[in-house]
Amino acid sequence: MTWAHATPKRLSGRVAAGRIVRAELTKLTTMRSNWIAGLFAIAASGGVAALNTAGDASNWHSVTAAERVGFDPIRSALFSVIVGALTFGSLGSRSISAEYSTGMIRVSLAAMHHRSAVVLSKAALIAAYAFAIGIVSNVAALGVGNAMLDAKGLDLPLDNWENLVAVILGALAVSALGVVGVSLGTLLRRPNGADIAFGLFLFGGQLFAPALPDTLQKYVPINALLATVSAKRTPEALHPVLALAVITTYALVLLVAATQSIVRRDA
Amino acid sequence: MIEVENLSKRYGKTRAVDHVTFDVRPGRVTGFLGPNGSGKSTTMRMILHLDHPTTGAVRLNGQPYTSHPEPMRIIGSLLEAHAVEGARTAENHLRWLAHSNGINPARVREMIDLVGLSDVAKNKVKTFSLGMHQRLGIAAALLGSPRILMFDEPLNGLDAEGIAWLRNTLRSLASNGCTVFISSHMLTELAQTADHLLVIGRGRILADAPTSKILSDHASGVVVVRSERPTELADHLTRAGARISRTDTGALTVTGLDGTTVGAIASAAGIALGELTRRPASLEEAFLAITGDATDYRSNPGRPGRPR
Repeated sequence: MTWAHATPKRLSGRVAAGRIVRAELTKLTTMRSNWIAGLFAIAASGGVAALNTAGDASNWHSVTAAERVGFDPIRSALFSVIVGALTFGSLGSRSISAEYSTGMIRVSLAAMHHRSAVVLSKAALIAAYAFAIGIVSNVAALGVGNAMLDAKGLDLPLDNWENLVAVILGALAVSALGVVGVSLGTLLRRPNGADIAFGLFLFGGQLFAPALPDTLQKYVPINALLATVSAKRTPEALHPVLALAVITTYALVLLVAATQSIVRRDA
Repeated sequence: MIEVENLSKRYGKTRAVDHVTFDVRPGRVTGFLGPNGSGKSTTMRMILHLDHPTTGAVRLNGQPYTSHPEPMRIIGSLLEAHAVEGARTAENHLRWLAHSNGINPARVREMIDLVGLSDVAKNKVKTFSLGMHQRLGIAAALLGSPRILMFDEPLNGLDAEGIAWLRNTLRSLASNGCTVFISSHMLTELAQTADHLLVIGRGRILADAPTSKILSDHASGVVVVRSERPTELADHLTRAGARISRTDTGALTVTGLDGTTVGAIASAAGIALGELTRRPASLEEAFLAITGDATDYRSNPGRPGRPR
């Protein structure tokens, strides 16, 4: 058989990547549910922060002096970071598993045959969206927490360096967990399966915590996540920056597995 | 032009596509026929680089799929009409596709108008009927003005106007030098649309020829004859070498003799005829003749069971 030879048009990698990012951005922004999820994360973070800090404030009179010294008001307010993690883990996994469940992934990959770039674009966009919403959610949670704890002399001003770092590190951790969601969605291809896998990833460590040595418990994802929004240093918890590095490592390992999977498997 | 060489696909022990080689040439509509499970969709997915071949290669205009940085400008495809996220509008579905291949967004509106979805362009796709999904898929395929078009069952769900529109569109594109490759189970429609046919069965190419040749080689047509003495007439025709089947209305369907001979036999036997009609060769007849031994899934010819 003889092949006709036509020279394909060349595109720089930057232009090709830009087009994929733009296509994925259009997908992300043209689903109303994605906007609703962001608004939900902000509102629910404020709500969780209110409940958590109100509980701490109401029990403040019965707390011992030693416990008051160990109390971490930032962590109490930003405990709501779990809401962001769940929201963006699910959003990330569904950004691709929903395409598999409808069959639209075949339209996507026929149009954009650089498969790993498709996954990386989704991951980058979900991470950016999660970071933006994470910052707003954490600021909202800190504001609510400040209002609840102020009467106990535990104010949480945003212009405090420690508080600001917790807001940013917490938002970055939520970003990384969004990437975990995208990766699990790519690996498992089914929305419900990927959601369950994300839930197990985040909370599963708690189930097995009794079996883990004490030195390893701080590396469990949920403990690492909460460590990113903690101001009090304890031997049981990772330093916030190290905690973020641990979560980011989980995300990168899964992302590499996801890009390998999408390239090697049939669509 | 689509060039497929020695293409195979195995799933475990199952050989879905078995070393197929064919060209789909420009300037004509090529139909792709095969029974259920024969390997049509798998072949089409491999052409689009969605499934990895076990052996072989596919080239589009002389180059592998992955060499084309803007594949939608080379090949427009529709594999599954429902492969769209329902919560997105039709317009936005086409917008992200346009962005992915650097296509001018003005083409989105043009294509929506072309396929007749202007009134519902801003509606969510989940509200669409199957026919509207097909039209959206066709709009997506045409978005990049490609010279190769490949559609898997594009006629499903289309109304009569839609079928006529698509037939005319495909024929017009082919006459302008495009490569058009379509699969369909609507054989009568395909016989009218396709200039050339590829027939696949159990993963192998069983026929690769012009439609007219496939019809002349594999289907002879039948003669339908009606008489008040059908049993006697059938005996005479059978003795002359015909194969006879009886229709629900009492007419005889005669295969193996032409109309003139049937009329002459009836006349010689003194049997008056109420009807003598020649039915031309059909693609269905040719398809069944070609794929007779290469069908994995058959209907049970017995009577349906009594309802319980």
